[in-house]
Amino acid sequence: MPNLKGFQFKTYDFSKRLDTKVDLIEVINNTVAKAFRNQPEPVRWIFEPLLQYIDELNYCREHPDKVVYRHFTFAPEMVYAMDCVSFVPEALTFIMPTEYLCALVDEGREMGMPDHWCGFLGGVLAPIMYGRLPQPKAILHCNQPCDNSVAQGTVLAESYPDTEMFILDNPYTDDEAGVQFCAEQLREGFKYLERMTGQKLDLDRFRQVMKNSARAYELIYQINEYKKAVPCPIPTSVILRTTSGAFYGLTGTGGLVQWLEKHLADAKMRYEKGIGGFRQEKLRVVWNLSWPVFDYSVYDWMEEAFGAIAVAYHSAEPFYQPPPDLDYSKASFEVLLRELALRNNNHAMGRQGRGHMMTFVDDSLKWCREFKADAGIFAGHWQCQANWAAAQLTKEKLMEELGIPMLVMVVDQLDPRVVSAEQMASRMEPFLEMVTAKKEGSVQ
Amino acid sequence: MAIVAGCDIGSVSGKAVLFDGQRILASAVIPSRPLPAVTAEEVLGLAAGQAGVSPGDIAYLVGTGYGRVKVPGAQKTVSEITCHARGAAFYNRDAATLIDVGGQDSKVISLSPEGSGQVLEFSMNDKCAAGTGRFLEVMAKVFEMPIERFGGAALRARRCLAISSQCTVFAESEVVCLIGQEKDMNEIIAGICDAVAARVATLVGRVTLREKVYMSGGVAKNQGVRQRLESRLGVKIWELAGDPLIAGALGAALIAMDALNKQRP
Repeated sequence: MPNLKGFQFKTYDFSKRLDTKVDLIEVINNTVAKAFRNQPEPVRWIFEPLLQYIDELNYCREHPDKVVYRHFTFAPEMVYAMDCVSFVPEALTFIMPTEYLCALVDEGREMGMPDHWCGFLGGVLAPIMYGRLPQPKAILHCNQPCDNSVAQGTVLAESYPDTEMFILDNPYTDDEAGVQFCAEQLREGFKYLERMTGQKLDLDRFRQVMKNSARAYELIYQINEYKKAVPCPIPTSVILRTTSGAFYGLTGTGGLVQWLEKHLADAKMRYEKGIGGFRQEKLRVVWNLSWPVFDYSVYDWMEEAFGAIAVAYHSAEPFYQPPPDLDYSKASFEVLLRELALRNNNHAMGRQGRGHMMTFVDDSLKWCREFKADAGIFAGHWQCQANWAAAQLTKEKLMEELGIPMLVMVVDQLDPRVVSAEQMASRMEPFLEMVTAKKEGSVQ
Repeated sequence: MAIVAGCDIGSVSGKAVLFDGQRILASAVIPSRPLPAVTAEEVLGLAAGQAGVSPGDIAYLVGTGYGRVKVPGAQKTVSEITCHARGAAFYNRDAATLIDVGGQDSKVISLSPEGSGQVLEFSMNDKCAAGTGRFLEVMAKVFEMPIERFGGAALRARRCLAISSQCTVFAESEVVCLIGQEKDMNEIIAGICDAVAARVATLVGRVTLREKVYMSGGVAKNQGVRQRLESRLGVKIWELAGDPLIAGALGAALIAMDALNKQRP
């Protein structure tokens, strides 16, 4: 059985202090975007949504009147309906080079950021406070998913004192009252955006955005149906790297729909040919909370050493369900508002970051069951305390109801100095050995 | 008769076991050197010498432990959890739960009931020295006492002083304070053993505790920790039929024999 031996994980050079007082978007253009564009032809399509998002970042610099800061769990459709650009400061941490992220975390700590802020939030604190990001015309924030994220709202308010903020109080329940509670706030949100941007909401544009959004959900629903096949026809890298990021940032855009159509066609082709992702599938794994972003070689290692394929990522893939049979071209504002509230309540990490703990546990069970997982991995982003509270219960439920084990381990999705890819792999190795032995019905 | 070996390179010690398919031919334990490869070569050489063979006579070698990838000549590496489970089941087929407290990590392993050594579930500590042998080592240095005497000192205590800090660094300061207050040394040591037991008991709570419960790893030899752990868990912790320190290396040797047998026509 192959294992850690001989596998080269990514290494970093932290010996030089990077200049963080640079234009981060330019850094992203010159590094990550370039790397995505230089990917070999057969896999380049995978990176298209990320490039689309980077294009939006560039658009923000040229059109400051269109910049709306959006909290990452806030459904982006609202911003696109207002013909604005959705700028998620934290999203920069996902796409900037890791060395910059670490330098920015250090800078944030030097300026007083508490040690308990994670890389995701901490990596943009200094750029926000030192005014290195495009100035927002409006700021959409909310009260989830963690205390530090809420505290970041205060940082935004203090850093942009002339920009009034809109803060969404996310509902606790998933019933109709919860939907209406959200919808009424979003109604106020549109009024806020109209006031802040000086633009009136164009109902036809809202309809088109919601139609795009519904189509995106319809496509991901179909794609997810293919993902249930054994072997899973969709490469891990697509599942983890792009699909979730695309839904975080681009729902409501035509670009996402076009990409998902390509994605669906690829999944269908692979399914019909009976082929899996890039490597032979032996184990199916669901990532039950977060997943490390700083080094994708850890997934290559899992696939090479154990044939362990990621078939789903619980907390960032949208809570998929077939969209309603609705003629969006004629839908009223009230109908669209309700749809938007539903999308918002189920938005990636929004759904997982609010409400009763059993929603998280039940969703974990549902994903593992439907995607025929052999194991779950709860890679707990160390600052997602609310979700950590569900770790043991989720582990017990998965064993009790599905008979599958779940590994619980600490990570910072972005900062390898907290737990490196190699450390993660050494934690996963005995677990995957155990799952392999169980599946093969043999002792190691 | 083919000879196989398992080599367990831990943070504190390197262990090697030579096995012929029926019995342990030889075993050796040495303190870990700075370089895992050096530890592996030395400990394997020592075990081979005891068995009267040369390292070149080893037909299959499996590396385990944190330094497993650095074991020269290992045909395969396997995690220490899998190896400890196999080793413990070889010693005692009725082992249902194995608590392995090593130098830098602690694991609780639930084993399949039929005695095959298959791992059903496990939990382990996260990035923290509390609840490991390293914690005890740090404290032993404070007392300038050999760690081997720690367990006995704890057993002689009339009561157990509470060490409230979970962090090794803070606990060390707390212990220094207690010494400064002229508290009974044995009672402080009992408190230290209890602090380790408390951390390990938390790990036990994350798996299904089934009897019989055994301990492996270097800390298994510490009667103070064992007694405090029994008290916290409310179960008897049995001693393995063989040396608990080499359970991982033994498991690696058993896996090596399986692998060799698979290779044979």
